[in-house]
Amino acid sequence: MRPDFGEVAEASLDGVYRYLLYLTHDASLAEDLTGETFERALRSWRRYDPRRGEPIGWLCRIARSVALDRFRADERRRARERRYAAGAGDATEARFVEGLSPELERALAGLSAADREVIVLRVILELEAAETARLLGISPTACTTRLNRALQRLEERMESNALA
Amino acid sequence: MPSPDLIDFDRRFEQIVRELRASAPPAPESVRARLRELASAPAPERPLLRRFGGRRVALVLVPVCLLGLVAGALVAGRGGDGGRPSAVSPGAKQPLTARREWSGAATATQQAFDLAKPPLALGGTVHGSAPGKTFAPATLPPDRGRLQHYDVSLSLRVRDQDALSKATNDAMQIARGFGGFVAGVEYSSAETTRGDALLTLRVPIGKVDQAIARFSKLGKIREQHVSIQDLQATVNAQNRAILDTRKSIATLQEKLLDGSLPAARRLELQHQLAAQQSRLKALLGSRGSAVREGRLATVSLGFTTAKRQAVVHHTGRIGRAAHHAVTLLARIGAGAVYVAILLGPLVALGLVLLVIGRAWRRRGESRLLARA
Repeated sequence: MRPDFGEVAEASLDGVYRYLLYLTHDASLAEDLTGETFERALRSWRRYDPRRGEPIGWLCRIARSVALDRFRADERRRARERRYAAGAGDATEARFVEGLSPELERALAGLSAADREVIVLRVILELEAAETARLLGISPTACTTRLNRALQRLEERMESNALA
Repeated sequence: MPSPDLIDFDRRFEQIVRELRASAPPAPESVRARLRELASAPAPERPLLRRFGGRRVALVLVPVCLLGLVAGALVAGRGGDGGRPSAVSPGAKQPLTARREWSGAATATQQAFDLAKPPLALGGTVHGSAPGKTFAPATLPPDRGRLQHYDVSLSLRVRDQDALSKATNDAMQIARGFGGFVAGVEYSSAETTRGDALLTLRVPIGKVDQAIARFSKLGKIREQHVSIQDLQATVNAQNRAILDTRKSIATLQEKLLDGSLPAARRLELQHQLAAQQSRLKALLGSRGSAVREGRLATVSLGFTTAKRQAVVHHTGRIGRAAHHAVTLLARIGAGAVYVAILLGPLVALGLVLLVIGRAWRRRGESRLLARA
């Protein structure tokens, strides 16, 4: 039986927001993209098939598409890209996520969006490897490898930051 | 490459994982409020066509198209069938003008005969599904009061090689039975090709209509050709010429009996007599030929075996309509195969491009995320 969109959205909101926050590394942009994601999800809610996976996976797929559209648009418009880069710098200075140690936060800021994406999906949202791999369009093995490398890079950056 | 099950990042990066999970931020209240507003708003109206999923539309459209195709084929089959003369019910009379050729100038009598007769009324069933039309023989009897050159050619179709042999023998016996003879026979048959036989028969003209009726039962008539040429006027003219020549000969012979004729005159008369006698002989010969021609009709019989795959008899309107429908569907199928052969490489190329495009897009996304 198809679940109610409101209930699903309420239950998945934090997860989608966290995903976009880690992906963009920008809290205000993540808020915008979260709203956009759920608008798009509502429009295509009839296409969601509960047998194919959990709602969070489906919503993260939409969120990823929304974020990529935004990244592309930013790249096309260089002025906006500069503003985004400046904004990203501001966000780093204004605390990316409350509760993180400064070393971890700085290390996360130094990672690429792809690394942060796999970390948030597998570590924070705790999606299965298969589900994450499907979302990223890669094999489960590649997904695990990417996660491992991302965490390694995160660890190395934390150590180098601590030494510095 | 490590297997997903072999890497336990929870343990290996325990501190980082614990910290990340502990500090997972909730969504801001502003986003939550926006979402509630969004969820409580009425669902957006979808375009009529988009309300149905692609699969549902396909599930309806594909059977409808197939049904339409079959119905169209059936209608076309019935239409094609109805347009043929085979739709004539057995026993129905239908005017059908047979091919009639007058190889010479017909006399007034013959023209009157021709005009007085109604169009050839041909009864019986015409099987339109066969490669050639079959019909009953034309009843065009000769005028027994006049000498006529009567030439009939019948093209008949027989079932197979055995029937061809039997029909050829029967035709010769029929001709002999009516007091005629076989003027010529050409017979050819092979196992793989179509067999045929061509007979030239001479039948007494008084019995030619009976003979034709018998011949027509030896196979299915595909073509009939009757040619009548009046010979009476020619014979009458020859009779008059013969009479005049005989009179001339008698006159010349009477003159030659005169003993006082000069030698030169006698020689001249003898020459004239010889010429007249020669002319009489030629005229008698011509008349004899004409009379013989008028006594015997020439019947050309052509037998042909049907191609095995063509001998498909479908009885009834439904059977014929079904046959046409199946034929049409087979043609459509052949066309579909033809189109598939033509479009196959293009479709394969499209699929390859699709896969390449997808890989390219993923690569672009990865680069984009790596830069972001």
